[in-house]
Amino acid sequence: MKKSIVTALFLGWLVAHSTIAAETFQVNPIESFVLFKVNRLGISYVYGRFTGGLTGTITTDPAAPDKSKVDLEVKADTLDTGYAQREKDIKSPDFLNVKQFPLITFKSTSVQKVNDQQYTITGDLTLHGVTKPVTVQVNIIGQGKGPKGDVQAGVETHFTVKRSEYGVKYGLPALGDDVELTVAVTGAHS
Amino acid sequence: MDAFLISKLAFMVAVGVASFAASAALGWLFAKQPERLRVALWWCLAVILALCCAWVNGGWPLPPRESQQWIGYVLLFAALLRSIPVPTAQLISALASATFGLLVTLLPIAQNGWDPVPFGSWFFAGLLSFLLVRMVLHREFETASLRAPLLLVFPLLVTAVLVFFAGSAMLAELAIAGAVAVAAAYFAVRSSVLGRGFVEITLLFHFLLLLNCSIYADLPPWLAWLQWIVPALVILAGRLLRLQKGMTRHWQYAVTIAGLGVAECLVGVLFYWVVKPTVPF
Repeated sequence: MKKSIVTALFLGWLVAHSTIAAETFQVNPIESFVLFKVNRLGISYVYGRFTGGLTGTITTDPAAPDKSKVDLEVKADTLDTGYAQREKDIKSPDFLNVKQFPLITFKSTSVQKVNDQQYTITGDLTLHGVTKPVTVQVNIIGQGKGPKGDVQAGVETHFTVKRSEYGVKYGLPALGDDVELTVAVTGAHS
Repeated sequence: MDAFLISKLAFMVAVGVASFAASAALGWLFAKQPERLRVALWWCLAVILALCCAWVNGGWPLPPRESQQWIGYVLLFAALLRSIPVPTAQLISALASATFGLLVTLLPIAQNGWDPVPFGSWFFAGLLSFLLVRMVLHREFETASLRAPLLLVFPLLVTAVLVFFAGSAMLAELAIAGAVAVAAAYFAVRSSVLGRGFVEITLLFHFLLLLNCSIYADLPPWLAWLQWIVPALVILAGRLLRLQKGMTRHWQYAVTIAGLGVAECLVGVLFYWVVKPTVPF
């Protein structure tokens, strides 16, 4: 009797762990945002966002968080600053040159769990055709069932890059070198 | 903002002074050797324009990653080819340098999903229009008249305005720097003929600016093409009028300059009507 209880418990444990597999979340471009701000003439900030252009996947493995993967890309020509002429300038060869470099991508190389709500992710950010490693602190906002019954999760990160390191040098120092980014991702899996 | 504008003005002044001083020095050095002076002038212009490109691009990357970073290399290549004392090289210099310029400008966008058809269309249309305009304009630089640099400088200044409002302040800055360099060189050696090599370098520079802006910024291609052919159209119209009306060369010059002014104004009006530009910042 004791043996059968132990066996049942053991089998139950096996089943439980075998169902905690890696989950792949597809990024929802409508519910995900990439926002940025750049100092303008030392007087104010220019704010902008990439509207509906963020896609990719986030693969999480609760049993082994360090095996998680983040693979995101943004279409650079979805840039929106609320003023068409300014967007023309930013998309032109002066800055992002979106026709030559249409995508901004991020591919993780390592993921470290800090606590249940925070991860440190290091990855390769490719911007304007230049790839450089960045490390970001990612905050877990929450996880739950979406309106369609799918499982959704939201994460957010804030970090700063120097645009000159990515070959975007025009207009320095009148337009700041530091670009402060906020990336908020909502992913879903059925 | 003041510091930003001052730095841009200082750059233009530096280009003008460097171009004037270098051309004057070459004019003095080769005072009795007009052919060597013409060779030296086109090299001087190619080097100054290449340095301008490096300054505006924030560096001289090797190899260049963006199409506008290739402009300096194309100009130096054209100057080199033109310097080879072999008749065939001289003959094909325009064709070879325009081909090189078109390839390095079109390949980056072709790699991002252009079909062979648009690539081929842009390439051959661009090459043909460059060679035709060069062929028409070349003859106009066999004298040392003021009309010659006006045919080069004024279109560059108008292009700077078009390109600025089409979204690229950087290419506009280059266009103005080019205009300043050409004007300064002319005033330094105005008793001498600028020479075909000098004209070829300037035309190539102008052509690549318009090509870059129409592909990678928001200058409508048909408008860029119109701006490119305006000087040639004006020259052809002037020749036709002279033949028909029996005008003197003096009157032909005046009509050409006036015609250029009117044509460039028309291009500006068309641009305003189509693009409806606003100030970017």
